[in-house]
Amino acid sequence: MAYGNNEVVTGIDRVAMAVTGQETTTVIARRVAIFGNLVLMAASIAGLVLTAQGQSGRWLVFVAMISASTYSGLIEYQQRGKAPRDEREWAIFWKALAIGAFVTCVLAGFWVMLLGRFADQGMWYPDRSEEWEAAGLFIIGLMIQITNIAKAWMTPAYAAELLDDD
Amino acid sequence: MMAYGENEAARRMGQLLGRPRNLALTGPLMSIIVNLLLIAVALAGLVAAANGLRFGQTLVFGAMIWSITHTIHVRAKIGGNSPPDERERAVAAEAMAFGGFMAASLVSIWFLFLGVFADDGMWFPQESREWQALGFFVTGLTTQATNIAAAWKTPAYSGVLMDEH
Repeated sequence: MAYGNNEVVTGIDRVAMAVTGQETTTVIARRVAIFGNLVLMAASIAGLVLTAQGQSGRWLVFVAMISASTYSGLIEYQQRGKAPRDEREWAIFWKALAIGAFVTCVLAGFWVMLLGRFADQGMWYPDRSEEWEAAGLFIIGLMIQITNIAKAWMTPAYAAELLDDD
Repeated sequence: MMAYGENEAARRMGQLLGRPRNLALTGPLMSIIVNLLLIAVALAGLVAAANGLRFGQTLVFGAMIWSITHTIHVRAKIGGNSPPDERERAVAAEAMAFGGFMAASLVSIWFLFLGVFADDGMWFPQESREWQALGFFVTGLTTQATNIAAAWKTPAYSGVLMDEH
């Protein structure tokens, strides 16, 4: 819910409403946020697989990471404008970041430990510079995407409705 | 953070060890010192593993296990058998966010550097022993950074209350 009205965002909303005939805020409803970030995650995985196969997939991982962080920033700006987070928003932010960062760390740690066992048997690990870069971007992107999904998941339905009524 | 339910095992352990109050292992200051030491041990282990020494992997594994044990011990000592209250959950979420974010960011920055400098001799794991050591290190670092953040966010007065409990 915006505490400070933002003229630019309001203007963009009006233009979009005139074009599409619907509230633009429905686009940022939490289900769309979850679905959008799952798509970005799939794009990241596809990019990593392409890179591992020797094709040019690094850009896909990079675009997915940048899109997830831009999306996150836009949602924040749309919801709050320039107002600081309130107590509930801080709590959701920390919880979502805790889930996103911890899941990423556990997955990365688990993958590396499995490599200790199966690297000699052909399990993939980065070896070329493109692969290292793709893996680094993938880890950052995955953390942002999981955080966005967790944040959308924890946002109560009434908040989305309030956004629509705003 | 005052215990609502007494934990017998933690109390007995505290009595047996008989530490001075201000240096209690579960106090915020000591928790920070212990986890910083564990990070140093894990780093030393990783360097040893990278140099082909077998005990390096054991060192990293030991540091990871000790940090997890420390987390469980602090939780048992502070919270007893009661579930965490709202403030404790908030502190835990912030600490986990910090620990996880820091570890994931460091790993990805290192990978990005490897993309540029791997051909120039920057170290990366190649043998199974090195991969295992790195896995333990990442998991341990996440836990250790979380413990440090949790201790940092625990106010001093709660340490006093804990010791006087």
